[in-house]
Amino acid sequence: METLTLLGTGFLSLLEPMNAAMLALGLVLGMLVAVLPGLTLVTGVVLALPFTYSLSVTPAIILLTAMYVSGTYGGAFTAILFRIPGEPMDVPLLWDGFAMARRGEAAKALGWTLVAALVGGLISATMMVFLSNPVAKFALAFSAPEYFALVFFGLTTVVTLAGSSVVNALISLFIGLFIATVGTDSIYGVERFAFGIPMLADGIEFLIIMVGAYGLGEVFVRMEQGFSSPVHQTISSIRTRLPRLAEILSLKTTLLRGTLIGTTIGLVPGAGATVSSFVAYGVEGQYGARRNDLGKGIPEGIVAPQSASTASVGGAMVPLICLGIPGSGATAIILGAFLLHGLQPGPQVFASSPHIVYSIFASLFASIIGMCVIGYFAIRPLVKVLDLPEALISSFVMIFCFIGAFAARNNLPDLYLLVGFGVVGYLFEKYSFPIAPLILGAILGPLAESSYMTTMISYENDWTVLFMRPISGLLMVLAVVALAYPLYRHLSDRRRTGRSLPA
Amino acid sequence: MAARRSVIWHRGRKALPYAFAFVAGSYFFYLASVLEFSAPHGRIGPEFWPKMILGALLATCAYEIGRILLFHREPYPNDTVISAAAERDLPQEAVPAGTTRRVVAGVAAAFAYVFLLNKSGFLLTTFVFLVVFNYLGGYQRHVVIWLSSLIASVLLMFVFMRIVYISLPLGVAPFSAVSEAAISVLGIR
Repeated sequence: METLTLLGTGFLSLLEPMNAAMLALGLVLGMLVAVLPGLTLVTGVVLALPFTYSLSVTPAIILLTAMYVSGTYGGAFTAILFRIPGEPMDVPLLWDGFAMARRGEAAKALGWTLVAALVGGLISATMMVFLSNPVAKFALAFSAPEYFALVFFGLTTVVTLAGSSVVNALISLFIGLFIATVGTDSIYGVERFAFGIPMLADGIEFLIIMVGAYGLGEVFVRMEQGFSSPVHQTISSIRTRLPRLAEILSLKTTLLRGTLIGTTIGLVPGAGATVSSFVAYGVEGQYGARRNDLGKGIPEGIVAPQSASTASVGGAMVPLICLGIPGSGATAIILGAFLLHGLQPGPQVFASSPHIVYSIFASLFASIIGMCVIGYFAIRPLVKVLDLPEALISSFVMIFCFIGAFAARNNLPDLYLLVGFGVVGYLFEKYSFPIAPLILGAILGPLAESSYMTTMISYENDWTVLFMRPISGLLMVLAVVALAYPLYRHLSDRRRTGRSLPA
Repeated sequence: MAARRSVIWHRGRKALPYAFAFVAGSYFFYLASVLEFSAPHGRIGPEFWPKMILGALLATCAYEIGRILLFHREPYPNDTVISAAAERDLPQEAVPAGTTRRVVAGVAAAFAYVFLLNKSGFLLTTFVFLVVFNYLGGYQRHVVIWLSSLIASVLLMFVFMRIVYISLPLGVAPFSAVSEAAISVLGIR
């Protein structure tokens, strides 16, 4: 009952002009970013971060959350209409969505996308609201060993789900964790790896790393590719046709299954909309009633991945708000926004600032509905942005990155670091090192170190305490399993195929 | 013989990023070892955590270098369903020759932007950077480049200084005169 009361207050807070404006702005920006192939959803959220400096925490988080939500939906337009996935999560939509469009059923395909995003998002948001309080209360029992185990688990799942080699992801993670040690140590106040440079003695602001590696790095990668945007055809009629209620009910199993998959995967740190989308499509291919027709242009091929990717947002917000652990790349940025405004997400925030938490929850519901409304009416102008030259957009992205990094500490030398991390991001991409572990290592490194050091000091260097306490022990075992499983799978694959380089 | 040299060269190139990380990690490990601080008796000190991380980094890099050079193993494939399917269906773009030079030029332009920001101010430096970057990016429509760069520089200055309240650099004389003129025209206080 208290939850519903607080949620109602949260909805009322959305009527405040600034909150409503940020919600609308976030929805439009998120869709724009998702439509543009040269910009990822995470980069878009990173670029929006500097705009939030002068805002209070609630409208700031509402803006970023709205971008996150609408970004899971906007990329579907170009995937279905032009076979250009706006985001990696939209790749499964190519297989059935574009096939439907080729058959002249583009409007119907877009209608199914809208319904899937709406239903998946709303169910997941409802689950998020009712899961959050119990999870937060549970987390109140956490102390240093549990926090370290939780962060350790979160970082290992990022590594195993990074989509590239586990070894490269581990190296990326270690580099991120190491970068977080530059500056003054939080336990003893000792300066580390600063080389007498005042800029480094203050530590490396994680925002610089995020904006540099994601923002500038992405631009440099696209620059190497010659800013060659895929050519798309002009389509005379772009509109959305909603399916009938009977048609929607006939796909209720696919809808619910995709939603559950997305919400569950979203809960796991490191797994986000992309993983949810592919897993849901794969499961539909295994268990769906029309699995033999999947890939030939059936609505199930749209509904499963789209409901999962939008549902993953609600799932990802639970560990972020209740535990302070980001569930995805975009929620890592949102965590950054919380920290910039002096608010540490976690179980305490439910006690100290429940009105902020429930305003954010309410904004998630409003975002899902708003994104569907905007998507239904504004699809034509949104798709028009594909006509903008990528070089022009990228030059503006660079400037936004510079301003964002400068505004963090009003410190010009930070911009040199920014360009440096842009080069790092470019090299990481070139040599297939995933960036997400680097960023999460840099953001969560201080928490990991302080909780580990506190544990060791409190328990007299007895590291086994991490495995002896029930909650931390369980998380540590899960983390070890998460790390060991890809290695086991690789070894068993090698035994089957016997692959090696020629001597 | 030539084929063997080619194989060694190929493997060396694959191991290069890991070797670089190993060398850098070793250097920082040494720096952590010589940190001047004595922790209270029985407690781990401020060097422990970075040494643990760097030790894990060195071990991982050594493992991968060994795999590539000594055991002739392919780097781990992209064997997740996501990356395999995405590689199949995401537009494949071949890197045209000579565009790595473009990246180097882009990085140099970015460093130059930072260097000049405090000297010529945000407005002028941003305008010049946008023009240069668009040409570097291969965009050829001159009117669009110059006009959009001018409008964007002024608009960004207005939005960030007047609305978001970020204090952007104005530069030094004589360039600061341009910034101050723009500030007075835009009504920024």
